Amino acid sequence: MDEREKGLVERILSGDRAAFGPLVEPYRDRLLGLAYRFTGDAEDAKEVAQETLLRSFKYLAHFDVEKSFRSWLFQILVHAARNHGARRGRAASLARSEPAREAALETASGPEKGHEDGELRSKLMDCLDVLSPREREVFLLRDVEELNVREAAAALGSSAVSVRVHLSAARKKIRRRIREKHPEILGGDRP
Amino acid sequence: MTCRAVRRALPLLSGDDLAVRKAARVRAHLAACADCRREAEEYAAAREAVRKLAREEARPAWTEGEWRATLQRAAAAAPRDRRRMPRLRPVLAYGLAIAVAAGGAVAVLRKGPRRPPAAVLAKASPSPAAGFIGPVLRRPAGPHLTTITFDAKAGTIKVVWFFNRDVRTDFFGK
Repeated sequence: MDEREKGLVERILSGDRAAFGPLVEPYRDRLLGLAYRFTGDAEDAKEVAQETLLRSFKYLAHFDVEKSFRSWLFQILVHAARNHGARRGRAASLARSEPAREAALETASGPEKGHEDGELRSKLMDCLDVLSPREREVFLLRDVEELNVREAAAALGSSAVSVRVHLSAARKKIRRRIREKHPEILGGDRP
Repeated sequence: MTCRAVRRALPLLSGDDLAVRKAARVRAHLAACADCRREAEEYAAAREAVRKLAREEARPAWTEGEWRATLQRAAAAAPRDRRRMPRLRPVLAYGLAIAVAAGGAVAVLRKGPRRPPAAVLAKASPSPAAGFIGPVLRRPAGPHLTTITFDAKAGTIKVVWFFNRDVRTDFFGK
């Protein structure tokens, strides 16, 4: 944890609540983005990200300032996403149906851009859908959010060995899926 | 390394997640094996393709209002002070131990030493040893205290058993 974050945590714990904004601001987009990948829905993602911020403030006194704040924050997010998924009565990894996804994106960014984004998202989700929930969490944290293996293990509350095992399995499955269903995206070509 | 062992390691190599020594051995094999190298390139390309899709995909974003409202809501809650939260397990363990000890003490005190009924005393051996007269049952201080006395037939020795319901103590004396 860097000195800036450490200082902000100390200020919050001594009663300066305004320091919470600067502490979490660098993670603003990443929190929501990761929540979106876990839930597959923009509204659900906002709920999960909000829950993460609420819990992080509430339990800040439990945070060990010698460790990574980012990993701790992502750990809270992973738990919040799992709980959210359980509350919804479905796995946290399951996304909404394809037409609903595309409709949501078209509304957000216009029909043409929405269609293009929908296609991208469709391919991405198709690749991720072959993974088990744990493989998906590991893959997203390591390969998409670029946490290292130790940080991902801390965020998931598991060991580095377990992360490596799931990561290896996830990459194998994704490679197979791309070869079978989306060979055009290999080499960076966009259809 | 064999091709089989190398291929098992390729998924982790594609993200540079192998231990340094093992990675060096795998790379040495790849330099000499075109088939394994092709597979390694596929892993790297697949990983990069998914990362590219993820970067390009539209993602939801906070509006300024949503972000501020969330921060205000979070900061409005009282942060939980770790020091004020006693750990529950030790508290429960101590509580349980105290309850068991207190329960045992109450049970012993309520029961007290059993008073021998008169019929039992009547059938009992007439004396603690040959040469004694007794037993003589008395209640010198109400129902809580019972004494049984044996007098020596010869000499001045007297054995008195006290049964006190309130105090668990035996006295021997003349």
